[in-house]
Amino acid sequence: MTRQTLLITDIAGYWGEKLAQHIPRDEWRVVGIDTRAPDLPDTADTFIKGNLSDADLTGILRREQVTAVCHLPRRPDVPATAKLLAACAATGVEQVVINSSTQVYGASATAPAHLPETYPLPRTAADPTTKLLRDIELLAASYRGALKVAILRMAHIVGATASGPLIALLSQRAPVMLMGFDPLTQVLHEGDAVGALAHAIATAADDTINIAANPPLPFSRIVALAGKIHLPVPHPVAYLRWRVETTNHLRRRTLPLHPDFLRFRLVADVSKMEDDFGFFPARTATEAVQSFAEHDYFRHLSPDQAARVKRVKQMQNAIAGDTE
Amino acid sequence: MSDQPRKQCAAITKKGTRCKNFALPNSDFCRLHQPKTTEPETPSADDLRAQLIEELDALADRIRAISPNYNPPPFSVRGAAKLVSRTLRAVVGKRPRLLSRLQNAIGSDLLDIDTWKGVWYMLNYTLEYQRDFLKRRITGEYETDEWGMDWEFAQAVQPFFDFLYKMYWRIATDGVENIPEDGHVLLVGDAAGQYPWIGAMVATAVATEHPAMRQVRSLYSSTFAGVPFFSIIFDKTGQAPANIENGEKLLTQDEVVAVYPTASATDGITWEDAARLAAITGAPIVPVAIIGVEGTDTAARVAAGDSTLPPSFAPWMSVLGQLPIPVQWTIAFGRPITDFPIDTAGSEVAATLTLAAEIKEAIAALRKQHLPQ
Repeated sequence: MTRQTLLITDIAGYWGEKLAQHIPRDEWRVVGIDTRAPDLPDTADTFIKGNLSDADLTGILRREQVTAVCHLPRRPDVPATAKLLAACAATGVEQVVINSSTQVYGASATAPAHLPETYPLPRTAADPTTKLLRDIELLAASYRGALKVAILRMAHIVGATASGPLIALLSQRAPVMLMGFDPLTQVLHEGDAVGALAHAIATAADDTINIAANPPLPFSRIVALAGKIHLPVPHPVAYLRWRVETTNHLRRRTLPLHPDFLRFRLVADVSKMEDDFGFFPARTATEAVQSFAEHDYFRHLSPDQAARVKRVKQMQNAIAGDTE
Repeated sequence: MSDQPRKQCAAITKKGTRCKNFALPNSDFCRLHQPKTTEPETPSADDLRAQLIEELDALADRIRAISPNYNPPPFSVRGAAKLVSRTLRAVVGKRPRLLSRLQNAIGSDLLDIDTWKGVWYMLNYTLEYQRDFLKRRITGEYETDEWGMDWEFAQAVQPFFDFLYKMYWRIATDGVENIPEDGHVLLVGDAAGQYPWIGAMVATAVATEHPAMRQVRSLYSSTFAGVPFFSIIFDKTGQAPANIENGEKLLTQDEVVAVYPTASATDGITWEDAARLAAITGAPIVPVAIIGVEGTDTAARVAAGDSTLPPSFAPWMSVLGQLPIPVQWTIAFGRPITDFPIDTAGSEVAATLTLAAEIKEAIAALRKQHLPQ
């Protein structure tokens, strides 16, 4: 069977490596491009060292005979994405999969409780991430017709090994919450995020799809499931703090998320994911947060302590199993 | 009769001669000359009476010395009895009734050990339930639906709303049976500026008085979404932000949805939006009129110069001025509107406007019908 060729951008990054491990190698040949080599040697069949902004993408795509591209940038980069899309359209690539986020909707008081993919994106946004994602999506959607473009708007990622703004917030000793607000929030397990990307490639999807685990959870419940007690902060103080942190580019941020996402609900409608896309996350929202909580608990322990706790848990599970 | 000879008393009289009486048995003296003991003598009734009269005379002399012009009313037995009775009532008051109530309450049940065992069991169960409730809140082990509704929270706050409904505002409800027992329904009411309380009371009325005790999902103004604590309470009790998409989704899920149209579309749902919502989903419209609620708005009444308000609601007490006054309301539910007008020219806008006008007329008619005569 002739394998198709998949190009993964930023392959040495977390998502690039995970996706490359997930892709069935009997169907796909994986070509990776990044500024540094992946940690695992067999991540890509062919590794190309380079930067998207500087590399000869047209030449690479033609030479490797790429049929599908999965764009997984570490940070949203509009010029690099524009160059990649133009190169794909010029070289006859069949499909591009873009990893986006439900943050693209922005959080507001007037938004519907369940945001469909057709909901108009905000023209202005206080959060720079929202603006970047919107620009990338508009750019990608403009190439529909010339090639298939699958845009996956993923909910906040949680899990044992991934990173992201919600994980950064939950990793704090006392995650900040706005006093008097408890918005409904969606999450997605890191494994299901990779699964959604692989599913989009396998089904040659050509649509914008919300990807999230059910059910949406109140933010306080997410914090509680993560095993933390939240720190309530008056919302004017939170907005001021966020402005200070972003303006001064502080490394240590108490608010990795814009305060709007801690104030207003952001729930994407996942009926298209289930009915049309045919993808069902393997883990519920509760299970996703609990997987983070287990890892976070061990993160604060020494290796010996962690091993001891795991042994005790195994014994407890064994006893519980015998009792049942 | 004793065989021993009786001996003569050994006492000497005042004349100096020996007493001629016989001595008491086992004694050397007669009854008159028995030696006195150290125990105090118990005063006789006559002595006591004489002592009381003496003290009362002394008290009267003191009063005359203080108020020489005071002339007491003429004495009579009846008057004295009335005075005593009045004094007792003032001093003792309701204690006799309270005492008798206590005596009636302490029946045989409270003396039964099983009663106390039952009380102990209930107390422990209640404490354990509350502890479990708090623990699940801290650890996140509770469920919410896709709209964020927390049933346990809603049940916990329901007694407060029941109190407001039954005791504080003494709300009278009419026509609640006009709401169908199942399927989607759109309640359209006029809020008159007291929306949060109106929404809560309409929902309580339906949950309490309707035969099927249906849960009402109100669409609340987006203004409240940005106010601390309001959005939490609204979401956890099953309400949703007011917009067409939320209303349509809720009605599609066969919920009872309540809307309180505003003039401004940016604030929530307009009358035309409500009409469009019903037309899109085919939900029957039940008009809701709330009569008497204007009187609860203390700030408005103070601003209008209402002199019936107590001084505590002066305009400068702006916080207290926002508290609603416990006036009596009526909530009237009208007959469902199920025939939606279709403009023969095919204009959806015209049909929507016609339906919106019909809803307003229905509410106005309900208000007129229930206004106090």
